Amino acid sequence: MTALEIKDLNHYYVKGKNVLNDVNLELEEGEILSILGPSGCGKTTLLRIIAGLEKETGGSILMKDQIISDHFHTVLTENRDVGLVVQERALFPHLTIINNVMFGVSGSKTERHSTAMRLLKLFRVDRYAYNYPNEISSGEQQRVAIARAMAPNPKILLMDEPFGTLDQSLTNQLRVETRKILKDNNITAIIVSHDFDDALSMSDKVIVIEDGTVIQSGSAKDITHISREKSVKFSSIKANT
Amino acid sequence: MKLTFWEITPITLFVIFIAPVALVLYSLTGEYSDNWTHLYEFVLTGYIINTVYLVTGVSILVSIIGVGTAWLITNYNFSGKNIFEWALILPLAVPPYILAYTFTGLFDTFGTANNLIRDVFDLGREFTFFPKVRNVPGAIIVFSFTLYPYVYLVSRMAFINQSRTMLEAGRTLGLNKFETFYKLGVPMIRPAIIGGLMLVIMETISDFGAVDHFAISTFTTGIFRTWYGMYDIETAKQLASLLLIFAVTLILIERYSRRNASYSNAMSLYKPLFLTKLKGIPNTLAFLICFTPIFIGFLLPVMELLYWALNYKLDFFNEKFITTAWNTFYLALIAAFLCSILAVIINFSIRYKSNNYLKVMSSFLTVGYAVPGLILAIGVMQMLTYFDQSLISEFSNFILTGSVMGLVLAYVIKSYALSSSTIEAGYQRINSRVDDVARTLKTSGWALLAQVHLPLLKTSFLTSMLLVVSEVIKELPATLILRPFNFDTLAVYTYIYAAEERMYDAAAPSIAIVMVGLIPIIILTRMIRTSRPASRD
Repeated sequence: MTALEIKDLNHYYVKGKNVLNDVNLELEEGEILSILGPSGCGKTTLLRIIAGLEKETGGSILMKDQIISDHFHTVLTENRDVGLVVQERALFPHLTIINNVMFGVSGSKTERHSTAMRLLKLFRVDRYAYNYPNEISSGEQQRVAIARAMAPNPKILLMDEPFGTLDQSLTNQLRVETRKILKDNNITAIIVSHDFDDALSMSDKVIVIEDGTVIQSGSAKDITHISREKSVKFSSIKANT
Repeated sequence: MKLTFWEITPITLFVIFIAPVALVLYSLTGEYSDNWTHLYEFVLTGYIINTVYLVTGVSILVSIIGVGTAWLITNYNFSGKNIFEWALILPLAVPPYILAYTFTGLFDTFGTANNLIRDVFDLGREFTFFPKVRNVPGAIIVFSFTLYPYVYLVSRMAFINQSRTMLEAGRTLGLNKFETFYKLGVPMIRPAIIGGLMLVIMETISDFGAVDHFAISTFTTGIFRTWYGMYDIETAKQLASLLLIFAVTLILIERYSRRNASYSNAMSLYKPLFLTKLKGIPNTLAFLICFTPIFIGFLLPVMELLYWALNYKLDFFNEKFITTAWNTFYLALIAAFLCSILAVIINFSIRYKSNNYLKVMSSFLTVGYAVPGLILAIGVMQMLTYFDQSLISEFSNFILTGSVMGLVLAYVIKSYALSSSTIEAGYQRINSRVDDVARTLKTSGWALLAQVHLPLLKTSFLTSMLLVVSEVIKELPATLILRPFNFDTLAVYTYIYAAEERMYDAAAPSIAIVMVGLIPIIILTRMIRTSRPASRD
């Protein structure tokens, strides 16, 4: 079943200066897609539009064959069933880890607690359940952020530069762990990154965006062959930022 | 477009807040009397020059005191630091007019300080040791040492939330400790400093008691003289309108200077500051820098007031006093709670709806702070009279004019700027990505406000309550005009005695104002200290 379909999506902040041009993509249930591109290319905007945090200026978005946004109507972010993980983690600093993960889960307190604990165990951070976010490391915070986004069982998990602030060895470790958990739980996910390795090691599909236009799309393997040049370009951008 | 609660509330408040001010501004379209021509030709330039001198001098001095002490307290350990941390807020309990009374009582030719030195050294009456204080520099000192806590409080909050990593980055790039302070620490909290400074400036330009006591001609003394001396209320309102335009200009300049400023921390990356222990001369200097403003702004006036009270009479713990103190306190708490809640709702609306119209409207809600209390009271009274005559009388016998509601409304309009500026500074520290994530977790509107924002704004909310309580307790003219019959506050007592230069009589209620003002300051300061994440170290 198609988990997400985007048709002819356009977006601009200033008329005549599009940040996204005729973006089309399809994602099957359980697939992991990476959106790759240099800073400012429009990939985060695309993610925010999918999440409903911004309204596209043209085109339509469908989730499981239901229109969630087009010219005529828009489903609000809170009703879209999407999970969001951001580079800054954005954990609620006034809540303990367990309460952060329980935050978006519905049901009785016992059910919510058990769901949260299951996920914390899955990400191996259950021993910090009653700590506050500022009492754990960045890598652990990122695991909690992903667990929190997965807890309400969203239709799609959106991750914006999820490993952007972590060191290389931690990033490598988290990539493997996260992909395994996503695949084991059949979770559809979109990862926005400017790091070619994120795409290569985590995704089934990759699209490459430049200046708001999709310039390449295909399986991660295909992109590996086609985009060696791009890879070098993105790496140098990453090194300079 | 369907309007929601988050749009309707700011619009409704805008109408209620602006109506009294608009009634005053409307006077500009009326006729101009001979009094106006006289004021325009002979005294208006003087009012403007004195006001500009005052605002400039006070701004410089409060910035130095407020930001300097906040930096020392946040980054260093030195003798008395734990006491200074909360004691630096104490001058908030002393209204500028009370410091002005005690300054003249202390430093006038035959004041307590000169008399004391003459007695000690057995000198004649021709010897004086202190410069005259009834002038512009004297007023600058009075305003600066009573108002600097506004800048101290917001700077301290902002410095606490500064991440250690940013300052350490500056040190590794070759900045010494002082350069880290003024090239990195201060610019990073510029929005907070400007916010605090605006409160100080508005308080300065709308003050009447202190400048009147020092016989300095400013807009406010001009307005009062026109009203009470010439009995010309229209010209007084026209003068007040000019002052209002000046205040609006200041607000616009402040907004313009902060237009692109986004200083929010990614909270998960926050690292608390390490405190440096000071020893020897730096320790003594830090002690003196923090002690001096407390001494001048709080200890000195309190000692002088106690001296007056003990040498004359100390008879104020009677039933009347308790009733008056209770009136003052519960009015202040109601106004503070309303102001803070409204400020949260308005700032949340702006953030949640990302609506520029709401943002502009919110700026205008703060105008009440710059309107002299007396003029605001007249505007509120005119508005309430209109309601009483045209609307409410149709449905009930309840009369708003002369009720506690009218008084609370005036306090809320007057003090809203304090709450708004504090809550806005609090919101700048909440990363907008937190809202994005919360919304994907099915939390929006009231739930987002109650479950995410309010717990994170706890410190700002308490600070806002603190500022409004201390402001309302000191408020004089609006209380005098709008108070219900036979309803007194402590400020009314002080005003009546001080206006007659009966300083010994004014001492007791003045002490009571300071004492009542101290209670919320002490309680709320403790709560603020324990609620700050950075204070866990």
